[in-house]
Amino acid sequence: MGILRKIIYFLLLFLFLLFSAILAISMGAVQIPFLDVVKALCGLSDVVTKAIVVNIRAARVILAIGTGIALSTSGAVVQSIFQNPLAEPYILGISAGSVFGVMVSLLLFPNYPFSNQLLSFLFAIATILTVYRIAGVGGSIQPSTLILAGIAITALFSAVTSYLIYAYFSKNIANILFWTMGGFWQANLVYALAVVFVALACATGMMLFWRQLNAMALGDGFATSVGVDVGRTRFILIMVVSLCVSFAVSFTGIIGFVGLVVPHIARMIGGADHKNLLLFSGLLGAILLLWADTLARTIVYGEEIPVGIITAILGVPFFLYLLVRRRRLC
Amino acid sequence: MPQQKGNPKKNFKIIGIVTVLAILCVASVGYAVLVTNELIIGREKVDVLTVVDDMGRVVKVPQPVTRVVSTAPSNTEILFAVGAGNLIVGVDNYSDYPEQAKNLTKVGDFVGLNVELIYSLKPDVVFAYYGQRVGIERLSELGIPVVTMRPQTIEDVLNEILLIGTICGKRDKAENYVNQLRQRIDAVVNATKDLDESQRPKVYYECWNSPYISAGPGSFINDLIRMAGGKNIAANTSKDYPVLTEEFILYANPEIIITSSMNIDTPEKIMQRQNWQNIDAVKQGKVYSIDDNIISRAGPRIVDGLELVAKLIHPEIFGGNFA
Repeated sequence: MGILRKIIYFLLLFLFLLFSAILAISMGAVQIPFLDVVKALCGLSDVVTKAIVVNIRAARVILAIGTGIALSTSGAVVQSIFQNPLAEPYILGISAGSVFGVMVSLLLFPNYPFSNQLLSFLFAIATILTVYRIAGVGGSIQPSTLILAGIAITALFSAVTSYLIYAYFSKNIANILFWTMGGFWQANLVYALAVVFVALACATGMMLFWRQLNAMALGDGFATSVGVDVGRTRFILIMVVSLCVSFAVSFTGIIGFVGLVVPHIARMIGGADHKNLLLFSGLLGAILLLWADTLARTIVYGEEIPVGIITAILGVPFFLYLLVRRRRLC
Repeated sequence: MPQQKGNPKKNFKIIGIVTVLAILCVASVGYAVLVTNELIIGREKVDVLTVVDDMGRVVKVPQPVTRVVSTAPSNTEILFAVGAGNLIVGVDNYSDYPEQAKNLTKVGDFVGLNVELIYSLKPDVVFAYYGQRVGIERLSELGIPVVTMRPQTIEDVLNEILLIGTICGKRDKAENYVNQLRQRIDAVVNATKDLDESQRPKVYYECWNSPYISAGPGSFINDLIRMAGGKNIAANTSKDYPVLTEEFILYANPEIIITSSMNIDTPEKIMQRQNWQNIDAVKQGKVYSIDDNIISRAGPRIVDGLELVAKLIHPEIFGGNFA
């Protein structure tokens, strides 16, 4: 019966995501009626409407969904493998490394397609490997040391990124700053589908480890005692998470608090079992970012604001609520 | 000796001294000329100019000025234009026009000013730009007169040329120069002012491609487009440099797209954008790039910028009219 309830929740959320997607596509600088959206999606409308509905709004919606899945499932995994409910991919330095990679790409190869993604990924991997090395070798890694190393590397990369902005983009500082606050303006169908594909592939990969994740959430000692190779599992998951996050970050910039908050809501709805947790996290993350972006691009007519601002405004009060609630339970 | 009530001779002396002092006082009051952007009174030679700058700060500048620091390219260009280029002892890192500006001592940029270096240059006055708040405050505390510019329209630029010219003792040159500029501006404005709405093409100006940053109300570019007889699609947005959504640009369907040299995307790349093929400007190949330094600097070249934009928007009117 518990399972039945979860299936119903899942179906309801899934339908809500689909409905939200079509509703979000109908909203924008000009309202396009719901039915016309459906028509355009089926290829039955004029060129301009089709370009806007399919290539721009649908692409944004899909990119938001992909990014939501990537950040939220990664957040859930990071929280479990470090047994830290306040952890986020950002803490490991992945986001800062990715953004640094994009800055390097903007400086050195401004005109090559996918150079942002490649450098972003390379620096995310380099960052996380460095952090992993600093924190220990193989299985004897300390979660707290890892997080501290992540924070230190994040600070270093932020400083170097700030220096690059200061030294090379000081004339365009506002433009580059917008980038570091996150947004989906770069969306086109190819990018968006690529992000969704990578996010779904990574999320599936994470889900294959649901047993190990369940064990590791209860502590390294417990996990080891039930036969989980903690060091190896953690290493693999860190690689998957960094791929997932860096790929999204390279298109969207830093979008905070999604990976932190969404897994907690997912636990309330679907429980702590990672089979459900990753599923619900991905779904809820997609819905949250989809609406955050819709807000970001419609709140001021014709203009957009960085979506990272909205996720922070939505996320921080919830985060504080979580803190207070935890304190009361303890 | 009885105390005398007053020695007529001595009294005469005192009266004389007082009179001279009084005359000096009155004279110095008369010499303390108040200069604001809108109002420049008096043509006499003065010891101290009291100036109200664009930030509403009252600044006393001792005369004559022989050493000047400019912390914005626009100020540097104005100084050279009014014949005060030889007084400059330091400029900001971006001052690159005219050619001579490149070889001057660099004192920082919009982000940060090197206050120690500026102080060591012993300037009689610093011409700053709004936004350099910290540097302006530090220099003022050190007793260096800082005149801050915050131009928002072309008219403001003309007033600034007069202000800088007056402070540097080049009042006449500045007035002549401003009159020349005004004639050129009027030539453009008079040619476009009677155009009705249908004759004003819609213009999209792209500062930056990722995200799409344009120029809205309160920006020079908005001013230029309007004066040149166009309609800026971002004219009713919420800020001077708004981030536009792509669909807003597509819906607006601009007839002319102008991008700045600062943008990463060139006109060729803009014309190749996937969803932009249906925009009139792209269909007709009316996508242009202009030197950002000409139209976004609040200096004399803004008038060159106006003429350039006018030529792009209304070639049928301005075809070959400008030198």
